[in-house]
This record gives sequence, structure tokens and C-alpha cells, in this order.
Amino acid sequence: MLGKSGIRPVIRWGCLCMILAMLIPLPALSAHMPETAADVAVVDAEGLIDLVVGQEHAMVVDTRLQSDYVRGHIDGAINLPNTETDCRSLSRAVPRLSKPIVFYCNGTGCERSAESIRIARACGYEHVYWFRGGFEEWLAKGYPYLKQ
Amino acid sequence: MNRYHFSMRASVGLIILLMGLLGVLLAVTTGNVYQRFVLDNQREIFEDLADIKVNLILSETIQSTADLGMSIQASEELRKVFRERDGGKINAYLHDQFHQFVVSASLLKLMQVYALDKDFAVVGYADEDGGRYSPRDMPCRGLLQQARQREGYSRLKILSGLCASESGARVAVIVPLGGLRMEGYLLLGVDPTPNLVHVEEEMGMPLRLLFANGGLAYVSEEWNALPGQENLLFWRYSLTGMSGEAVYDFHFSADMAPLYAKLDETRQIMFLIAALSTFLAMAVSVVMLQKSALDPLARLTRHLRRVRKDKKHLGEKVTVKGSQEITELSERFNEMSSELHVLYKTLERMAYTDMLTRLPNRAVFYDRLGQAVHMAQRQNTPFALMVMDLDKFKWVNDNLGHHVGDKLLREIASRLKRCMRKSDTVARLGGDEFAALLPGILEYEDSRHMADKILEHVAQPLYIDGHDLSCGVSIGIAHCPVHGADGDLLMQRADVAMYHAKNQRQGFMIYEPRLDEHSLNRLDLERELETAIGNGHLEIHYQPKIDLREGKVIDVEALIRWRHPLRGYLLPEQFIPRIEQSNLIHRMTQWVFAHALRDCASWHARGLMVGLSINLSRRNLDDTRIIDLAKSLLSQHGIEPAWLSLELSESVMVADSDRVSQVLEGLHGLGLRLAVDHFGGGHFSLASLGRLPLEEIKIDQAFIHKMCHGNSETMLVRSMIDLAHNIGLKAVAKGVETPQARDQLLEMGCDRAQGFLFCVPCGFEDMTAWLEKRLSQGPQVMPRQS
Repeated sequence: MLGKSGIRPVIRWGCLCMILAMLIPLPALSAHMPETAADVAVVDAEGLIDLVVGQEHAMVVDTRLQSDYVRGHIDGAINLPNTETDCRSLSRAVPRLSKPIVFYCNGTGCERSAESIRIARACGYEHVYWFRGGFEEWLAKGYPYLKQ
Repeated sequence: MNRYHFSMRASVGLIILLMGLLGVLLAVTTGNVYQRFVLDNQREIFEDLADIKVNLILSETIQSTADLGMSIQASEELRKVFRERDGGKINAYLHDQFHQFVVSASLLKLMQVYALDKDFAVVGYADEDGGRYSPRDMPCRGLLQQARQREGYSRLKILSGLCASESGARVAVIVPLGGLRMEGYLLLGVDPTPNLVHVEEEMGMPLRLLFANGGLAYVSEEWNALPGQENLLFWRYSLTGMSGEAVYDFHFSADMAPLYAKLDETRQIMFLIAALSTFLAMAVSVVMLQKSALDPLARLTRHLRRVRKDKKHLGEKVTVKGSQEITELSERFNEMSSELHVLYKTLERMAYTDMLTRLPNRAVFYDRLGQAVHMAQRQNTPFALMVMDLDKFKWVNDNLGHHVGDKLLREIASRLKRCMRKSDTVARLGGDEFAALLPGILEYEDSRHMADKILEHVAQPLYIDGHDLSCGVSIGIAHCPVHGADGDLLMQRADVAMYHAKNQRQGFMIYEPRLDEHSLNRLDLERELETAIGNGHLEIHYQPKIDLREGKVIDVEALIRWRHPLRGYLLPEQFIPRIEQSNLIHRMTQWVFAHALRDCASWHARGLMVGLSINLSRRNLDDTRIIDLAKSLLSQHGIEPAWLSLELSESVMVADSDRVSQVLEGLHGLGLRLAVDHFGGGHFSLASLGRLPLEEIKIDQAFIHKMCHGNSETMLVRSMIDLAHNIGLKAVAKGVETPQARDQLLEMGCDRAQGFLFCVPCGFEDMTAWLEKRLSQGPQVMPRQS
């Protein structure tokens, strides 16, 4: 049995650990969400359109869950949720590493596209684009979307 | 005209009731206004609601159409045949879309689908009926125009619009075909009516939907089954198209019966509240009014009634609690009551007190006399009544001034009070007349004892303003019930006794029936004389005055006679003394002057130039009006003042007051002659003879009559004649009835004589005849003023 004098150090250390646990993920998250980078080009909706229209082999990847994809997505985008993204799945969707790929998810608060981009980069894809505004920007600008 | 008086309570109640009625009226009016306001408000709410619902349904319809379009264009098959521009296959594919779920399930009523190239040229077409493309049927051409004008990225965006068409209305949606690598467009035409009629369910009220061209788009069964229009609210909502044109007219009707019922219920509650509020306000107001105003006012009113009933409550303070105004009113009321109390006491004192002597006045005395008589009748309690009149008071008043007279009265009053017992009442009846009420005195001996006591006290010497005075009093006593059981009778009898006591200088006298005869004569005299003046019962007799040496007529003396209808001729000495005590003396003097001067003027007119001599009373000299009277009458009859001689009694000459001197000087100043009558008969101040402007002295006839029979009177007459001559006056002998007396007087040097020897007093006609006869013997000269 612990006495009163034994409880206080336990609480103190417990609280310290909780605070550290809360602070540790922040730098990790920020490492996965680059705002701009020499290796990742961020595009907006019009940039995405230009990319797709300009480059015949450009691919648009919707990194959201399938349920979101079904409710509405950019016409021509394939659905590859970040949770299912790895080099293998990417290679099935985009066999060539030189093919331009545009990743998007719901919007600026969404981590899925960033995660998928990190994986794609790790897999060696050379032309990775990040539609940072995501589906929210697409809808806000009144561009058509497709329901499945 | 009737005037209605409301109590304050009723007035306040009525006002509150009126206010309540006004409140109810206001509630009714407000209710009606509110009802209209509610209806207007309800209509606006319905319109806003319909706007929201209709536009929501329209948006959903457009979205569904856009989804359908996007779904169709996403087909690789369509895109392939589109790229190949294979019209037949495109049309076939498009026609298949009418069997999609949304269409077959009537979620959308798809009417036309167009496949357009990038320049909006029609590449394929399909409609519900499998008809052929006709440019005329293309919906919402304005939308195509709008789409053509777009550039850049906006060409990728979906365009939609509502517009009127020949067949009713259409929703047109343009979606890009071919995804982001756009190759053309799809234009979908949808009839939105089936979707829009759902607004009836959304609104929960019957709908009648019309197209802009007036055609009926839809009408619900409930619309036709609507009840009477009394409780229905009709309103409409217009849906406009993309160009601002009217497309639909939504007609709704709402049953307002529940609302009206609610309003009625609210109104009834308001009525109830208003009635209860009014009742409560009335109750509270009446209670407050009762406490703050009515109760205090009632208290003040009760006190006023008490004061009215018994004045002794005047001045009592009333303390009330109420509103500020009422409290102030009560304070002012108390102040006024105190002032009135003081005033009332003063008035009471003035009304019941003789202000000079502080004794009870005549009114109080008669009241107490009445009470005493009443008690005597009921309880057989005797009392004595004394009426007292001061002797020589008039002399004091006339000669020493009123202020001395007033002090004398106060002193006498004080002495009388000291003589009285506590139960007695002594009062001043007026002038120098007092009265006393002595309860319990039955025996004459007791009243005599009291009268002696009064006489003794009053007779004590007085010293007022440097004058040693002695004042007597005459007392008349009457006993109740022995001498009467009536206040007036007792007063009259005491009065009679008092006059007898005064005339006989007895001090006091108890009433006896034998005194009545004289008394009645005296008491009636004044009234009768007043009647005599009016009825011509007074006459003037004249008696001439003769110059003894020359035998000429000097003047004629006017002597008043009273031809009494019952008592015969009354001589002046029988009524003048009494008349002198009343104001009638002035009227009588006026009468004598007027008639005697008229007669004198008549004689002068006939050439009978003779002087006139008139007797004046002492009372005439109190008033300067006698000067004006003589002056005006002399002037009126055109008689020179020197023809008129005024005879003053010796008692007149005793009066040594300023007023008398002033009047005598005034008369003398007019040019009248003055004489002293009855000289030697009374007490007389010899100093006055030299001081007053006299012409002659008339020796009293008592001396002349006795002179004939005794030496002492002869010596007195001789002395008086010598006295007159020594101070430059003429001596006149009165009552000369025999030639011996005339000769003796002539021998003593007497200047003039008057008596039966020459002429008995006679009326105007006889005197006129006598004068005519006498004056024809020789001329007359006007007497000269000495």
C-alpha cells in the first residue's frame, strides 16, 4: 500500500509524461505536411486542370476513403486511400515512375494526401503534385464532380 | 335642471370603471389590429417559408439533374461515340438514359438530353417520346447563350437555370462532357413541376400551381374541398426564371380557424384580465381612498356637525391621518377652528356684554329675566327685579363731557356689582339705566335692604378726572310673582316704580298698583305725541310782551299746546319734561319753528311788524343743527333774524359746556336775540349772565304773583330788575295779571311785562286780530339786538 508521501511523486511523473506525450507528435506531423518543397509541387484547382489537360498521362489520385469518393470526386480521379497506399498499390495504378501524379484529399485539414505523397516519393515517383486545397476548394470554385 | 351629486367613492369608482371599459375597448381594438397584423405577419412568414421551400426543391432538382448529367457524360461509351460524332449511337445512348433510376422512379422528369460540341452545336439528341431534334424545343436558350460567353476554366463549370417554355417550365442544366479534358457538353431539360408540387407536403397546406401563361400545372384535392372562405387565408408566391420572367404562380390557402380560435381565446383572457384588473384597481382605490380621504373627511364632517350642534366644540383640535392634502386640510381646519373659536368668543362677549361697563347687556338681562320667570312659574321660586336710573348723570355727561360720564358709569357698575350676591345679575340696559335680578327674594324687606345697600354704595363720593362728584340713583322694584308673572310686565312695573322714586326723590320705591295711572300716562306720552305731530294735534298759542313805559308790543311768545283728543289741552310743563328725554324734542322744535315763523311771516305780510319769541329746550343746544334750522327757516320766510328771540330756561344757562356755548354763539351770530326764561326759579350761575350774549331776563311769574302779597318777593323782584339793568339787560316780568302789579313793576323800573293783564295766550287768528287792533294804535319798531 502506498502512503500519501508515495502518491505525490507518482502523480507528478504521470502528468509530466502526459504532457510529453502530447508534445511529441507535433514535430512528427509537421514533418509529414510540407507546405512547399523542392520535390513536391503544390497546385490549386486550375493548376490541376492545366496539369491534366496539358499532360496526357497525368493521373489524379483521390486519397480519401471510398465512402467519400463515392459521394463525389473529381472526374477522372482514381480512388486510392492513403491507408491502402504503398509502392505496390501505387505501381498498379501508376506503373511508370515518371508519370505525373496529383494527390488530393478533403482539403487543407486533411493529412491523407500528404501521407500518400510521402509514400509516392519514397517509392520513387518523380513528378508528384499536391492539390493542397483538395475537394473543398474544388467544390468551392464550382467545378463539376462526379458521383458514383 | 337637475344636478347630480356623486360621493367621492362613487366618483372614483366610476372613473376606474370608465378606465376599465376604456381598457377593454382598447383591448378589443388592439385585438382587431393585432389580428390583422398577425394575418399580415402570417402571410409574410408563409411567403418566406414558401420561398425557402420552393428554392430548396428547385436546387435539389437542379442538383439531381446535374448529377444525372455528370453520370451520363462519364460513360466511356458515350465519350467514344461522341468523339466519333456518331449521331445515331449518341442518340441511342442518350435515349437509354430515360430508363435510369432517377427518371424511371419519377424522381426527375427528364424531358430532353442534348449532346453539344465545344461550340454548342447539337451533336446528339433524345427526348422522352423518342422525337427528333427541333431547335424550337431547346430549353432555356438564354442559358446556352450564357454558356457560350464563358471562357477559361469557367467553361468546365455546370450551368443551370429555370425558364418558362411553351409547354410550361423547364429546368436546364449544362454539364461538361469528357471530364477535365472537356470535349463537349450535355444539356438536360427537366420538367420541375412534379418536384415542385412536393412543396404542398412541405408547407402542409393546399396548393394550386399555375404556369406563367396561366395554365394549370397542379391543383390539390384539398384545394377543391376547401370550406367557406371566412376563415381562410389565401396567398401566392411567384417563382421567377433565370431571366427574371415569371415561371410559376404558387397559390396557397391556409385555414385560419385555429388561429382565430387562439386569438379569441387570447382576447377572452385579456378581457378577463382587464376586468379583474379593473375590479382590483377599484377595490384597492376605494380602500385607499377610504383610508386616505373619506375616513378623515368623515371625521372632520362629524366634528363640524358637533360644532354646529354645540359651539363649545369650536376650537377643539381634530387629528386625522390620511393623504398629505387631507392632513394639511385638517391642519388648516384646526387653525380656522381656533380662529373662529376666538372670534366666536369675542362676538359672544360683544353680543352679551355691555362693552363700557363689562356688565351683561340688555339682551342677556332679558334672557335671564325670562329664565327667572320660567323658573318662578315651574318651581315657584320668587325673585325681585330692580330698575335703576342714575340721577344727575345727564348733567355730568353734558357738562363734564362724555369721557367723565363713561368713567362714572364704569364706577357705578363696579359698585353695583359689589353690592350683588353671586346669584344676582346686574346689567346695563342702556344710557344711565341699570337693572338687577335678585333670585330668591320674596319679602319687601329684603329688597328694601338691598336697595338701601345700593343707594349707600352709589352715594359714596367719586373723584373722576379732578372732579368731585356725587351720584344718586333711583331704584324701582318689582317682585315676582307678586307683581306679575311676565318679564315685560315686571320690567314695566319696576320702571313705573323707578320713575316715581325719581320724581319724588325717594331713592327707591317698590311697585304699587296705584302708581299705574300716572305711569301709563307717562309711558304712552311719547307714542301719542308722535301721533299728534302727524295728526295736527299740536297748536301754537301766542302771548304778547309789552313795553311797560311805552305800551308797545315788543314781540309775541310762541307757546305750544297739545290738543289731546282724550285729555283736552295739555300745557307744555305737562309733557315737555318727558319729551326732552327723548329724541322727539328735535322734531317738536322743528315743528314749532316752522309754524311760528310761518305765522310771523304772515303777520309781517299784513303789515303787523311784531317780533317772535320761541322757547328752546336744553336738548336743543346739544346739536348745532338748531343754527341751520333757524337760518334756513328765517331765510325761507324772509324774516330778519332780529325779529326772532330765543328764550332759554334757567337750567339751560346752568349748562356750562363748550357745545352749549358754541350753539348760543352761533345763534347770536345769526343776529337772533337771546333771553333767559323763568329767571330766579332755579339755581343759576350769575357768572353766566355776563358771559352769554343775552338781551333780557324774564323774571319767573311765581315772584310776580307773590310780589303782590308780600314785601320779600317785592325786594327780590326789585333786586333782579336792578341786576338786569346793572349788566345791561332788559328785565321782563312774567305773569302780570293786575294793574297794581303792572304799576308796581313800572315803579321798580321793569322794562317789559307779559301776562293776562295784557292778553291771554291765544291762537293765530285771535292773536292776529289782537295785533291788528293793538298795532293800529301806533307803529311798531323792530327790536334791536342788545
